[in-house]
Amino acid sequence: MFSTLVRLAFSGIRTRLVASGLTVLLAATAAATVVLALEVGQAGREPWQQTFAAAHGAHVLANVPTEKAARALQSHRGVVEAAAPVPDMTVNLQTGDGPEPLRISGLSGRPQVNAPVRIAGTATPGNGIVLEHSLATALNVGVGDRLTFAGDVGLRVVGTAVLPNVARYPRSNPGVAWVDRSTFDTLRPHGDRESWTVALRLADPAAAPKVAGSILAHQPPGSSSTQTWQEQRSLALMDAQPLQLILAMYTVVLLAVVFAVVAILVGARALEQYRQIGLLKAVGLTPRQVDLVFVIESTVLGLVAAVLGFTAGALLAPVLARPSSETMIGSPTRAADPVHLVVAAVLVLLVLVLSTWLSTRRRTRFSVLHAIESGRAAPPRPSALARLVAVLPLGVSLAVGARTLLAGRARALLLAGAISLTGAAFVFALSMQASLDAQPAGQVSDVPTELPVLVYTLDGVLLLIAITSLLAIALLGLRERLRDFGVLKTVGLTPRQVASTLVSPYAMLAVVASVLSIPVGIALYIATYRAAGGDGDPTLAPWPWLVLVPVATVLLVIVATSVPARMAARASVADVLRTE
Amino acid sequence: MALLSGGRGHGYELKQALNQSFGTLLPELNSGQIYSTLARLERDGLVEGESVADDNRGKKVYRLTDRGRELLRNWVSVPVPGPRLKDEFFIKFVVATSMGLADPLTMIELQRREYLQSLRDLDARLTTDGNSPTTELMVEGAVLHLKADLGWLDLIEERLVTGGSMS
Amino acid sequence: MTALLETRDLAKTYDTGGTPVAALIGVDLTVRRGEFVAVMGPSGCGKSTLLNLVAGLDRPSAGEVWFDGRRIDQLSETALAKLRRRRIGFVFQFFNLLPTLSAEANVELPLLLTGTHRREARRQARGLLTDLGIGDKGRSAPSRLSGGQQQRVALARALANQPDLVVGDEPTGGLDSATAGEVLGLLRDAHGRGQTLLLATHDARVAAAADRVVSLRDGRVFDDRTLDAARPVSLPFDPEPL
Repeated sequence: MFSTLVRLAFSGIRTRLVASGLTVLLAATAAATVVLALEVGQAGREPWQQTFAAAHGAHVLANVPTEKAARALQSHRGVVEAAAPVPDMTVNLQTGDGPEPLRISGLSGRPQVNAPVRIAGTATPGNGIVLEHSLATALNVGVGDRLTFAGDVGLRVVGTAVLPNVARYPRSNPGVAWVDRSTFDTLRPHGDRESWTVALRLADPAAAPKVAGSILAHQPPGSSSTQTWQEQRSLALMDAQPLQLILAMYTVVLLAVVFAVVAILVGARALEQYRQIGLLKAVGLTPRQVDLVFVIESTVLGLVAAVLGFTAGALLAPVLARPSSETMIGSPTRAADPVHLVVAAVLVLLVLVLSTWLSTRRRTRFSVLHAIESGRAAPPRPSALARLVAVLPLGVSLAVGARTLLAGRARALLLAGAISLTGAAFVFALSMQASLDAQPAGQVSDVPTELPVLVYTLDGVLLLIAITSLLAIALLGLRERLRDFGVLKTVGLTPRQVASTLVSPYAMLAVVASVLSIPVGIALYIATYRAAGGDGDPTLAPWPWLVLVPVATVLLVIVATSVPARMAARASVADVLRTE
Repeated sequence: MALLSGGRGHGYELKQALNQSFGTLLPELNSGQIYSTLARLERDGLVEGESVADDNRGKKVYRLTDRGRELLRNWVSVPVPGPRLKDEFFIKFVVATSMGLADPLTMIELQRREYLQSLRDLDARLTTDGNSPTTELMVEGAVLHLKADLGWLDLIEERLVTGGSMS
Repeated sequence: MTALLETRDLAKTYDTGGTPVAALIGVDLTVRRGEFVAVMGPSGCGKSTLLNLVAGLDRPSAGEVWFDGRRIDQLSETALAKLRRRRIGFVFQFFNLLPTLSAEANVELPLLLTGTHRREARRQARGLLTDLGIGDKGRSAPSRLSGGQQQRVALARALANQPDLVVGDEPTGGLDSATAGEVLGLLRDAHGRGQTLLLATHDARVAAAADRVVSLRDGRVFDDRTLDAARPVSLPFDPEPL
């Protein structure tokens, strides 16, 4: 019996290739964003590991007030290797936009542990200064440029380097730079907050947190700080966090759109195959088995989508992670963790199967006899909303079209939801853009530059999906109602009026849905902002921009549905109304 | 005999009852015919007559014998035979077309006309007032037969077109 | 008096899958105002095609269609639609009501199209439904009505704008015998009020009710004869009620 159901499911997929393809595309996109969100965090691990190895990194970094305290730590229990303590202080760098504080370390020779890894020029400061690489990029400064510090101390940039415990500037603030000890002494009068850092390597790296804890316990409270290598790594990888947040948000939006569109597609199919389902039931399939056929279809499509999405996500993750690996050496790798595939598959399958099951449940619970006799789907009952439309003074075409769309209440609501969410994603992007624009000029943004690019790309993908889905759904609706269009023409509607019975209800729906997308998008933006740790109220997009979203949505919907509408108007009446 | 099943009666009473119940189904029977029929029935042993004592005209009162009753019962309970293979039009059609006397399609069309006209007539009769339910049933029956005959005409025409000449 | 409808040498050929099929070959048909014309013939003879061409739902391959002195086979879709809404009502075998509109709304539609005010349209629609015996079913959805009731609604819709011509393609075809009789009665009533009818039918009773029966065979008119007025029927006996 089960193999029969599976065969039925596969034949169902084959006969509805377009709808199946659309479902896979949608679900794969959602899967890709999930995988990206998970992978992007991981993609930086390898490069960091390489950086750590190249720097001969410290398992525990301890920052204490005095050199003596630092030296004492060199022989702490568990330590197998220690570098000479390094002093560091905060000094103001004079820039065109005012003083910029930097954290300068005074090196005497190449440190034994946690040595800066050269990126450009040389890692040995000599008479000049070595800047941390992302700082140099942010300040737009290169090897050979001169910098002036407080007290008019001028230094030449001799190189840029990275350290495993320094995250990307300006996330890691203030920026980091190295000079040699004599230069450090020269700058000393102009700096403050001096402290000493000692880099320790342990016999048992896994014990780093315990060692760090015991170090802190033996220091006067509040005077010192420690950093384990685990903390260093997560700090370095934290750059991925805003990316992950955005991707998570888009995953949610995409999954919701998947749910809505699949529900509509499956529901429309069940409607079309009303008669066939009735026959299946007459032959002996129970309603549950009929449901199962649809569920199997969705499961198969979901699995395909998950694999496709996983592949896309795994391939794209290094691309997304590249900018954030500015503080590391080596390129981001494909982490391609199989666990991520499972997560993506579970999410996608859950949404698909739930959507399918809910949609078919309503449709397959009807009398077998009714289905076979009617030969045509049981039309939905006019809802209260449809009756309301009946009362409003609308043009004939609009009234006919609206009542039809609203009579299929579930479909109208789902479509409205999908349109609303797509619009909300654009409102999100606009708000993000507004926030970026609102930042004072010259101040280096906390938001990585690839973030807007990511958001716009995702919005573009979402828009493409939305338009494709809308077209598919409108075409489905056209096929269902071809006979009705023929009847309307017979009664005397002109081709243009017939076309508008298809376009106008969608346009009406789009107006309502897109207006709703503004508050939804704003809410999404505020939620994401807060989750990213932003404080205060984020700047929102100005009203002229926001109004653009509903206007553009409605226009797009009208354009998209005009295609099937024209087909409807052209349909030959004689073909359509040929008696069965 | 059916009339007598209700009881006994004079010849004259029988004549009245005949006229009343069956009207124009049969041509108007005169008394002589009734009495001769009764005599024949008596001869065959299906009815028996009794002279009424006080009547000087020799009128008899008739009633059914047992044998008569049985015969009547059989007549009622045995169904009328079904297939009616004899059809006047069909005979005419086969003869005329095989002899080349008329074009088959034209014959069919003419007959169809006639059937349609008859339908029209019957429909008109149905819509006049004052019909008893029995009349309606009778007319509806004729309508259905006509429709069946029309269907048969369609069939003949169809076979004619596909099968060639009638043999 | 000019005929209401006239076709001249009307022909229609379909090109389905390569082999052309001639559905109509040179049909001349005239329908005068107030006439009730029935079109009969075996299936595939072109009855539906003829009706579609007459109502402007399809374009002829050759020949002309004249409606009330005006040639209509060359008109644009829009013009044909406007013609139909005012002047031609169509009744189908399988009713073809819009499923998402109530019975009333279905009947209102042609009225609204010709610019009747909404409230007036509703009033007229209700009146029509009452005349046809289903005044209480106005609010129902078509799916809840029986075949006969649906066909009555369809007829009301066809009659809504008091069209010059009502065209019917097997109007009783989808109904059982008793209901077919009822619908036929309604059609005759309309005819009695002066409505011109052109019906394609298999049903002999419908044909018998017509003034003229046109027989089509293989796309051509085979016979076109007027039926006489009903002759009196003599019954074999007039029995007492049982």
